[in-house]
Amino acid sequence: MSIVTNDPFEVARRIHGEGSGVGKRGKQAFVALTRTNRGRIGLALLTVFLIMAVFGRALAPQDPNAASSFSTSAEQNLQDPSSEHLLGTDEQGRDVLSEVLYAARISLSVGVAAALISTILGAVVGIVAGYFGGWVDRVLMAIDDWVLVIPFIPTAIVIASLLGRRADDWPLGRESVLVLVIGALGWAGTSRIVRSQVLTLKERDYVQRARVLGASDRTIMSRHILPGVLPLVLANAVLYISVAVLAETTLAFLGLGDPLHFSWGQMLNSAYESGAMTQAKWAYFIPPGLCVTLLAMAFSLVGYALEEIVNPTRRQRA
Amino acid sequence: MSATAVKSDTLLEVRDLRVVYREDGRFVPIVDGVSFSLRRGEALGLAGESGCGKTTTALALLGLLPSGLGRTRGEIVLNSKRGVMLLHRRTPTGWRDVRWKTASMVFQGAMNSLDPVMRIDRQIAEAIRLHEPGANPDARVNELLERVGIPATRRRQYPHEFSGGMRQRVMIALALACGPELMIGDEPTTALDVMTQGQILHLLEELRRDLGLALLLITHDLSVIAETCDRVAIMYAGQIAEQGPVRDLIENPQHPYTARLLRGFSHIGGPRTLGEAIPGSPPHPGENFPGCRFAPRCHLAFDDCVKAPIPLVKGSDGREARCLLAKLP
Amino acid sequence: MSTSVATSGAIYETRDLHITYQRGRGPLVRAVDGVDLEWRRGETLGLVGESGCGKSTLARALLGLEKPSAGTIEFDGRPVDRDLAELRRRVQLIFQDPYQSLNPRRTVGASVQEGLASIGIKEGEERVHRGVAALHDAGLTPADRFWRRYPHELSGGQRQRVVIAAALALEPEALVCDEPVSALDVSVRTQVLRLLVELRTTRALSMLVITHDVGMAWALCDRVAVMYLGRIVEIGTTEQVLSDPQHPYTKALLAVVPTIDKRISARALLKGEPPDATAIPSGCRFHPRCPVAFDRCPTDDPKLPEGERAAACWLVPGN
Repeated sequence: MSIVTNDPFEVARRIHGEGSGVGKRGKQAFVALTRTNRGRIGLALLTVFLIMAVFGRALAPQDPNAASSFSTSAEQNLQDPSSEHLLGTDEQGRDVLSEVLYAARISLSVGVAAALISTILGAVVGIVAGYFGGWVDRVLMAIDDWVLVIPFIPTAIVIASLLGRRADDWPLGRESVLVLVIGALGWAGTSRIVRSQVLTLKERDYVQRARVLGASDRTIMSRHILPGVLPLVLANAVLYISVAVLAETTLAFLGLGDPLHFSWGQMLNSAYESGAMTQAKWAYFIPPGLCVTLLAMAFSLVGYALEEIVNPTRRQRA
Repeated sequence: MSATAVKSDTLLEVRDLRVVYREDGRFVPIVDGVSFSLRRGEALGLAGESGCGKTTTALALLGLLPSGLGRTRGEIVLNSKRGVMLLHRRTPTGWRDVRWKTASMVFQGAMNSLDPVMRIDRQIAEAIRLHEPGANPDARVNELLERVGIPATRRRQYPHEFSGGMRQRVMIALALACGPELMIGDEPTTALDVMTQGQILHLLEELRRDLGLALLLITHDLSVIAETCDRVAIMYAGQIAEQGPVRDLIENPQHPYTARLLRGFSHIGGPRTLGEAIPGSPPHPGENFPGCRFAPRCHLAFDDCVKAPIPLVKGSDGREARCLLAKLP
Repeated sequence: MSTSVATSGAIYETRDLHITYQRGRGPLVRAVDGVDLEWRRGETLGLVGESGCGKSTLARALLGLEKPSAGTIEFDGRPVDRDLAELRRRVQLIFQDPYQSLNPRRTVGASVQEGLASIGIKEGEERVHRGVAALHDAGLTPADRFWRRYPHELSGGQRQRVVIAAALALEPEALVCDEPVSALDVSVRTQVLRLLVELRTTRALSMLVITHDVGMAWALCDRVAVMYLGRIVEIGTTEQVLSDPQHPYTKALLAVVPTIDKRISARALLKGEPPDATAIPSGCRFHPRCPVAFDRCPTDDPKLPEGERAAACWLVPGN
């Protein structure tokens, strides 16, 4: 209900005085997510894992890193599930359930951090290549082609083993190396997708008009191009988290993880190394494997649901 | 009972057509009581802007409205050579007898809906076989393509090898494939150059003459209707605002909307001025109006205009106007 | 004979302008193929032609959005590529499609302020004030009712007004309008055209109007240039070109445009296909479709003569 004065000064003062209304789009996205079955399941799973990651340490009956958790005698190792240890114990007598809960945080963090790195790298490369074109584009895309073709696991193994020892003091220990490796090898796909989108956006009338209105390249890229690719990038990022989680699990299983900052992959490695798998100690290695799978699936589901929302086939009514 | 009331030279009669869409739990009337008729071989133009319901009307005639979205009411009677067809009562299988054989349609932007991986002669042949299984279409395909002006040497080409105008000719050939008595064209020339538009309109005129085809031309461009149609119905907000023979309506418009629209045209050789503007914008479907739907934008509106729905004033020769100020003999 | 630009009062002058581009590895498209044009200060110049004739490409080149392959473009006496920032403060652009012209993710307020940063007005109340003033001038009052809306919440006419306001906010001297109303509803077109006419007077704007609608050119323009396949084929005052055309293409164009006071006439129709800028005919580029072409036409290319009133045709006396 605006007052009737049309005096430009008054109107300007009114507008300037009020705040700005953002955040409506976030709500819209959330509503749209919960409409599909996929989205709902994905969100539910994600919530569970989020709780695990945040509160896991408080919920766990034991702290696997504490000295008191280790066994004092051999019979306490690799025990089957009991009322005291719901998932049994590992090869060092620690409570498996606690380990699963503790590892949630690491697995999730590594996945998210790696996806963040690769998404940001990919988006920047894609926007710059797509917007500027010419030799910038050709050089960047040549590098992109090269990175796309690099075989992931062998390269990751090589780099992680080379850097591994130096990373012991880093925040996540050797897991940090995995974050870097997964991030650095994963941006190439994102940049291609982003670049295609940028090529389309570049020709839009409002971008042309922005150039005519005097906007600098940087302004155009941040104000017009970036918001245009953001939904796509977001959806892509979420999907990539599941890839990153699986990649970390694989690498940790192969022994490149960090026993001090253990993840589910690391647990699988321990289970394997200690012979728990050959001894059919299901309760030890099935839960971490299941968690990885479900976490990856959760992100995939949400990512696909987001992608459907982002897809330009959903036009808004005028 | 409605069938017997149709005159013999009337091909299509539409009575009180209503189409309602369901949107967010509300019922939105898109077409709100539209009546008109079309004689054999006649060309009727349905003119209007966005949101007026003209395309929905056309789709309703051929039963092409997306199902499950709303309800259609009213009567559509097609007085074809093969018998009287009550289109408003057609079942899905019943439509097969009507579509393409008695009435066909060239859609908006149709030139872009040709199958890109099929040669055009095959596409037309396929259409014929779909509607008349067992027929041998080849001779007819050649005849059709010749009639629409596609040279024999180009008949085996693919759609992307043709310009927009030529592709539109192919669409017209497709629409004629089964010898309909009525052709509906929804903005058939809007995406085309003015020269090409002239060619297509000329083609339609020729076809009407040679085949006795009746034409329902839907467009926002009154000048196109003036050049090609015998009669015109102007739609606004889901209703017919004014209707009648083209020359009569243009020379003597009785509805302020028509009058203002006509004055918006600048004639070359006339005064170099812009006409009076119509304030505001066309209404959204579903907006509520106690009285006349054009009243908010009308420079002649007075108190009675917004009190109650405006009845249709009828004159001679099919002339109608939905305005309290209309004076029709 | 072209005198120095500073004294002839021209905003823009192009000399033998060529713009050629290539789509991927496809054929060369000669969009603008030798254009000498003078757009004078204070005038409304119409550029009329069908799609593919190069008029939009020419307009974009004037604004520095396309690079010439040959020839020159001068804005106020200086080459266009030299001082783009300066140019963009003084010449603005209105596009055809109001649905594509505004970033769907930015509010009206943000869009209308868009150019102000480049003229040095920092964020804050002054920027908002300018934006509001521009919206008011464009007929969207009171501005705060529109400020926080998104483009999809507005009608086509309102969107076009936002585009106009964004252009006005920079207080340009000249406006290039590329089909400013053809994507709008018929009943709204006159509103927007009248707005442009009013602004033209109150702000002393020079305008370049690109259109295929000859009726609009008749009402709006002082001079008209007709383009075909990358060249200007006829130029003169509006009355001269549109009511007494000399070039066969102009005659055909005027004859085929539907008007509400005549019936369709088969004689008006040209034969052949719309022009293709990748395969420009030899000699006079119009000759394959020209109803009065004779033996000279396929071999000799008539250039547009100098002068106020000119047509590039061998049949026009004096050529």
